[in-house]
Amino acid sequence: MTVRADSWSYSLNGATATSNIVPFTFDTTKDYKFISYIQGNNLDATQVDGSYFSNITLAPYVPPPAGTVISIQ
Amino acid sequence: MKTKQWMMAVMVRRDKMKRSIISMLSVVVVLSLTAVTQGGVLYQSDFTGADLASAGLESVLGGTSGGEWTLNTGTDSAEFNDSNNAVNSRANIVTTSSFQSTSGFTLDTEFLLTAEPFRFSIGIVDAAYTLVAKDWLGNSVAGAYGIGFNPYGDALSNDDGKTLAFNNGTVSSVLSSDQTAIGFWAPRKPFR
Repeated sequence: MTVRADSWSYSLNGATATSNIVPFTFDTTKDYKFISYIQGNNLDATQVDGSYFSNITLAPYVPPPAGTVISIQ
Repeated sequence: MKTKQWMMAVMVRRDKMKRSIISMLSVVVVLSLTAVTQGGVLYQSDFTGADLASAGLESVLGGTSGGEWTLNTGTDSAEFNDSNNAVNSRANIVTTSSFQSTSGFTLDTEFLLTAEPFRFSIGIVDAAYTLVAKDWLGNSVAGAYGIGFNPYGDALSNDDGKTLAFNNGTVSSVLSSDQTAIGFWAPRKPFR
């Protein structure tokens, strides 16, 4: 998931990313934490036991570098 | 003969200049890569320590319904389990540190669900949010300003929507329901 002040995109399970169908504004001046919430159902105490995260990486958005060609002859 | 020597000298000087320029550019490239590396990651999970805290994470508000995230060194992961054999178990997992980036954020993670949860969400939330034992995104929890993926929940997803959603601090709204390739058990599902 990528989120910027005026755009977003995300991809699940390697699918082609979806971007900016609904425009919005996002406050990038706030401090943020990674968060996940999980809740099982009312019938099975062990329903989602063993669910896990194996990797979590949070990084600042870095725009792609502008292409620069230097030729030395 | 002198002309030839002069031309040779010019070529040698030109080669030296080329090598100097290439060396300088190499230094610039190395410095740039260093800057990107140093500033490139705000948080990277490391599950090789002794407990969840050593990974910079904490499990919050399993509450009376039980539920806790703990470190599983066998799978190098943060794993959820019911902690008191009660139904409707739940818990938040959050980073113990908070992060700021005016350019925006990228969140990459991999998760595995062992069954269809009642509620589930992944994302980033305002560090000032006081966590409660509710789905910060799917339940439109007040103050939980943030964005994330809500594949299972209440009004937003109804178990089938699998939405990217935005909580504006008052109410959550759907941004997209396009990504639905979610399932259970292996393989782990990358979310990027």
